Parts: sequence; structure tokens; C-alpha cells
Amino acid sequence: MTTDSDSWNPQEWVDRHGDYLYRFALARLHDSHDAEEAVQDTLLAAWKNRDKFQARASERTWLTGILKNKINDCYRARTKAPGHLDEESDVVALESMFKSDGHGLIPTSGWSGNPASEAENVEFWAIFHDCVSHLPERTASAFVMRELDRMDRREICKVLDITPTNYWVRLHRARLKLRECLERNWFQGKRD
Amino acid sequence: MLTCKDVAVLLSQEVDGELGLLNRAVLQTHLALCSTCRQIHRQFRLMEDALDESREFLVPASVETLPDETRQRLKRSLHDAMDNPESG
Repeated sequence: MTTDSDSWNPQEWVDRHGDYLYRFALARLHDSHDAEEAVQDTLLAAWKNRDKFQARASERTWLTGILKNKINDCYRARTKAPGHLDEESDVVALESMFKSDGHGLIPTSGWSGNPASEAENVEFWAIFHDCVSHLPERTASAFVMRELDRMDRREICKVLDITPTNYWVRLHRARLKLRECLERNWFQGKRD
Repeated sequence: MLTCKDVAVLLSQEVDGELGLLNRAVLQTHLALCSTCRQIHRQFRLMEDALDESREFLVPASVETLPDETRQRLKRSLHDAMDNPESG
């Protein structure tokens, strides 16, 4: 591996790592435009800071590290966007999923299968991913950071600038929506 | 008597192993009496088990490669940056 950064051609990074970086970003941002922008910003930042590349690390690890920061920047920007609702609105949104007497509104039924046993099933995961991409943005980012990247709760709260209470409300809303989506698009079909 | 709404968020905290003793007792009491929440709790657990086994499958299966247009755009923007190192 060369340490002479002047011999690098970042356009080769697109060929070698573009697919991986784009999929990495898309899995977290669920928006092709945002994913492309995150990858572009990553490659540009990497090119500008090529002198800082440590030869002992792999190129992909280094680029992915930069990409993670760009993804976090995108999460923050979405949170700060006009029309962004506050914590109280998240709580209200969760409470709207219950009746006035506090009992659940969500119809539930048993699942004929077990998602864990579907875990090898590519179709199942395509549906799961589709369900995640339909989550409201505020719940999606907390869920993806927790489940895909296994980020610590405190770290997630810091990146999204939310309280622990808000974090739990968002995570719970995400799980309820996903449960409903999986029921409708996967398990109901299997019962018929 | 706590309702489903009162204990809702405790379900997620329990699945993540972040429930203290007192809230754990509160949740268990509710679950003993509420089949709806028991079902939701069980399904949350199943979702977590699936994710534990196959986290990498959260990446979209339909997207294997960069779309060609995207690839070309990225190369062009990098080319511009290399030609104008002082800008940006």
C-alpha cells in the first residue's frame, strides 16, 4: 500500500469503494439523494485530508469513518430543519396510538413465523428494509443508529440533540410501526 | 392501575435491558394482566433476535451497486476538486 498520497487517484475510490459506501449510507439515511451527498462529501474530505491517512489502516475503514461523520451531520441537519417538531410532539404522537382510557389502539395478532428464523431470507429483509424506510424520519434515525450501528444511547442522544426520554419515545414508536408493517407485509401473507 | 399507554415505553427499555428493578416489577404486573402488551413484547423480542442474527441485512438488498449516473457524478465532482485544490 503506497503512502505517497500524491499518487492517489480518488476517482479510483469511486470504483473500489463507491458501491460499499453508497449502500452503507443508504441503509442509514434511506434517501438516495442524501446518501449520494454523504458519499460525495466523504470522498472530497478524504481527498483534502489525504495526508492524514495512516498507512496501517485500510482505505475502506478510513473512508467509512469519515462517512459515519457525514451521516451524523445529515441526521443533525434533518433534526434542525424548519418544521422539525419538538419532544412534546413526539410524546403526543406516541400517545395518539392509544385510546383515551390508555388501552392500546393497535390491533395485534400472533405471528405464524418467527423473524429470527426468517433471518436468512433475503425477501424478508427486503421487506424489513422497506418498512424502515417508511418510518417517519425522527423515529428512523434513532432506530437505525441503535439497531444497525449499535450506538450507545448516550451517543445517540448527543448526535440527535435529544433527551433520554425523547430517545425512548422515538425508539418505541419505531418498533411499534415496524411491528405493524411486518405484520401487514410479511406475516399476514404467510397465514393465508 | 397502569394502562398500556403508561407502560408503553417500558416495553422498549426492557427489550434493551435498560429497565431498573422497580420499573421491571411495574411492567411485569401489567404484562400479567394484558395479553395485548404481552403479544407486543414477545414480537419486539423476536424482532431483536432477528436483528441480532442478521444486522447486516438492514442494508437494502435491491441496491448492489452505485447507479451509473451517481457514479459519473461522483467522479466528476472529484475531478473538479482535484483541478481546483484551493476551492471548496
